Amino acid sequence: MGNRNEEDYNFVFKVVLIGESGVGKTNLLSRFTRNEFSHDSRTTIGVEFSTRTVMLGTAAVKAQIWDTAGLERYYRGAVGALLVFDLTKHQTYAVVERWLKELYDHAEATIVVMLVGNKSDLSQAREVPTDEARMFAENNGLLFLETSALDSTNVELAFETVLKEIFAKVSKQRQNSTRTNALTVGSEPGPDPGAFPALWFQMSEWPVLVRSPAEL
Amino acid sequence: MTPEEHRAFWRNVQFTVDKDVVRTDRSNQFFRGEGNPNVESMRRILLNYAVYNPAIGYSQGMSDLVAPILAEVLDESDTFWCFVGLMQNTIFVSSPRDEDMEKQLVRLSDVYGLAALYLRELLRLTHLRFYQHLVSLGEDGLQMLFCHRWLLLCFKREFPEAEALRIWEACWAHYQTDYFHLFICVAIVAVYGDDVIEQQLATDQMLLHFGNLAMHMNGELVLRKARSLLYQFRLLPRIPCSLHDLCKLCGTGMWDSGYMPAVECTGQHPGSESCPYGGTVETPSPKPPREGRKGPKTPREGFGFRR
Repeated sequence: MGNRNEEDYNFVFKVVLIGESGVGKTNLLSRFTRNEFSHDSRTTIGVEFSTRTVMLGTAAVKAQIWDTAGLERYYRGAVGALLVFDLTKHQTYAVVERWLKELYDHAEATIVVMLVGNKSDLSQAREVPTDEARMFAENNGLLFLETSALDSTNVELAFETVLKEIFAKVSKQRQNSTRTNALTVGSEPGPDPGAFPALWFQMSEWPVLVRSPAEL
Repeated sequence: MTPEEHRAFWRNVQFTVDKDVVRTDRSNQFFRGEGNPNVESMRRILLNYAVYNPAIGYSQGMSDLVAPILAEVLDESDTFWCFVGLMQNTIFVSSPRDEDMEKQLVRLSDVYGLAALYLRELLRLTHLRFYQHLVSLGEDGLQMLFCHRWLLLCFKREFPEAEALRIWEACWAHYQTDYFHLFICVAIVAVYGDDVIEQQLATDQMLLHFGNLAMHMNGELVLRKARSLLYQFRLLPRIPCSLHDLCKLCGTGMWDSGYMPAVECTGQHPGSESCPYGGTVETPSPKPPREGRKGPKTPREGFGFRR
C-alpha cells in the first residue's frame, strides 16, 4: 500500500473512529495519516479529520478518517468504522456493544467495522484478553486487530484491512450492477458480502481485480 | 434517576474527568509532570462543579475552560466560583435565555442552535457570499459545525494561549454586546473564508479547512476585524427581527448614544405573521446615525439586508 498524490484518486472512503474517550483514537489517526504520536494529546472536541491517499492494487483510494468524539451526527455516509477500546481498561471494552448499536443506528447497514484493541504496547497492564475480544468480533461479524499507536504495531494494517474490505464491497457492487445491466443470465451468486471471516486479513494477497481502475 | 442510574452517572463523570485532567494544558508549566498537585486541584474543581450543577455534570471541554483560570487565580475555591460564573455564559448551559426567541424561530434543541442562528443572520448581513454558499450546501452547511468548537471553548483551541485569553477578555468585557464571540466567528470567516467560496468547498471540506487553521490564525487581526464588524453593525439603519436580541441583553445596550435602528421582520421564521416586528417598526428616534470621524456615512456594501 503506497502513498500517492493527495489530489489524484479514484475513490473516497469515509471511515469513522469511535469508542470511549481516552482509548487513543486521535493518536491512531495521527499515526496513520502523519506517522505522528503525541504523549500530550488533548481531548478531541467536536470532530477532527485527516485524509491519506493509498494504493489498493492499481486504484488510488482517498481515506477520509473522522475522529468523532462520539457525535453520531458525523456517522452519516461512513463506509467503514474502527471501534476502538483500550485493552488496558476493561471499562472501555465493556461498552463496545453500546457503541456498535449506536453505529448501526446511524450509519449505513453495509458499513465495514473493525474492533480495535489499542495500547498493545502496555501488555503488562492488559485487562482484556485477546481471545475474548476476538470472539466478540467473530460473533458480531467484525474484523479484529490489536494495535499500538505508540509503537506503530498493526496501525497501518488495521486501516489497510478496513479500506480493502470496503474496496472489495464496492468492486463487487459495481461488478454486480454491470452484470445486471448486461442481462447476463446464470451468473454465480458469489459469497455473501456480510459473511467475511473475522480474520480474513491473514490472506497473503489481495484478490486480483479483473477490471482496470478506470472502469471501476 | 434511579439509584442505579445515579451511580452510573457519577461513575461516568469521575471516569471522564480523571481522563481529561491529565491531558489538559500539559504544555503549560503549571500542569506539567506526573502527580502535579495543580492537576489534582483541577480535578476537584470539576468534580465539585458536577455536584454543584448535576444537570450539566461534566462535559468534555470543560477542563479546557477551567485550566487557564486556575493557572491565573491559583486558589482552588476562588477558581471554582469563577468557573461557575464562566459556565453561565457558555453554550454548555443549554437553555435558551429568551423564550420568545424560541417561539418565534426554529425550535432550538440547544444553545448552539441559537448561536448558529444568530451567526447565520450576521453572516447574511455582513458576508452575503459566504452565507449563500452555506445555503447552497443545504441543512448540513447551515448548521455551521465548523464553529462548534470555536464557541464551545471560546476559541481556546484556535489560537495560542496568550491570544486566546485576550479574546476571552474581549468577550467578557461585554462592550456594546453580549455576543462579541459571534462577531469573532464572523471575523474569522471574513479573514480566512475566501477559499471556501472560491473553491466551493463542501461541508466536510469546510470543516477540514477551518480545522486546519487552528493555531495558525492571527488573533490580533481577527480581533481587529471583529471590532470593526461590531462597529459596522452598530451603524445599521435597520436590523432584522432575528437579531434584535443580539443587542438588547447588554446592560445599557448597544445604542445608548441616542440613535436607535429600526427593527424589521424578515418574514423568514415560523409564526412571522404574529411577529411583533411585522412591518417596519420605526423606533421613536428619528436622528440619523452620528457621523463619527472614521465612520462611513452609509453602511458598507454587503451590510444592507433590505432588498
